[in-house]
Amino acid sequence: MRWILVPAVLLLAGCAFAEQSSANKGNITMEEIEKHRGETYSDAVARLGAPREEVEFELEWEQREFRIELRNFFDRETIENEVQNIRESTWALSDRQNLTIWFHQKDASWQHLLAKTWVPGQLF
Amino acid sequence: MADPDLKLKASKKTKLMNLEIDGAKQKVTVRQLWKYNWTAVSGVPAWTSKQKTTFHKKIEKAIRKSWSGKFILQVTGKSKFAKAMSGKTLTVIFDVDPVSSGAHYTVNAKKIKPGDWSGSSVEPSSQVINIDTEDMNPEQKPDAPKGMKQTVAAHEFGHAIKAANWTDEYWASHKFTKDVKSIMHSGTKLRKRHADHVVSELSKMIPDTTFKVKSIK
Repeated sequence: MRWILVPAVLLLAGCAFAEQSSANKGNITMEEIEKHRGETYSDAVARLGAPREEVEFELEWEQREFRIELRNFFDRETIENEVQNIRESTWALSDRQNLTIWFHQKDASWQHLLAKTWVPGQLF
Repeated sequence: MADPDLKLKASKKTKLMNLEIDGAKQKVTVRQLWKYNWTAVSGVPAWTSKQKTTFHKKIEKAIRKSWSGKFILQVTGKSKFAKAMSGKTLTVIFDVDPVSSGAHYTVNAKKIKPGDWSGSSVEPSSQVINIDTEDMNPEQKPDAPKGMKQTVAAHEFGHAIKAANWTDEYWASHKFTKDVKSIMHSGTKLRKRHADHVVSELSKMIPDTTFKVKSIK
């Protein structure tokens, strides 16, 4: 799998966001997350701040559990025959909840495809 | 006549599992109690009683196939039991029982459409297991040799018994990141280290008695 670490993660902004989020204490629900399906990466960053971690990759069929749900959006033939670029961005919403959004590249835009909340330390 | 010290039976309840030693049968049982929380994704009919029973049986079968009867233990120490066990071995059996209270884990069992995908996981801090109706199907994982297919339910159970010390072996920074055939990485193979937590707990049960994995079947 080709991995591209995105160097543009704004560490300071991320820390500031983490502090702000921890202060919020509130966990968001999947229903709230679903409302934002289809939003662009830019919209998500405007809403959530800079992600704490980010990675881009070409989607492959074989996946670990963390990313396995990406398969629900593409069949095997599509994944194996066409390049599907995915940007995986993770925010620390609080000290008990992380949010990962996977964005799919369409033309020049990155669109929210799938999101998952998870607990720090969760094993996949 | 069998050595009377071999007839030792001992049991212990721990945070993650119940342990039973049966010297006469040369068997150790690791029993985990699960309290199910049954969910279904939108558009999928709710679980029936029969489906719940079948699901549990399938999960248990997948776990037993991967884990049961594989670890062969030896016992050393100054206790009568350890001395009686000299030259003998114990086999470790893994069992999962559904319960309505007193569970080691809350198990969120999600019913999904056949052929769909849902990420499975274990949350150690809250002792929650997240599994779904596709988790008994062996699956080719990244890095594993072609054809070596992992059963997700068995991998997640490994997490639940602390087989990988609350991490995944596939992380690049992990000490065993190259051991791609390991069940706690991308494969199906058990390693002695996967029983570290179990033997550590067993070794606290009988004074002057230490358990160790001798081999894996």
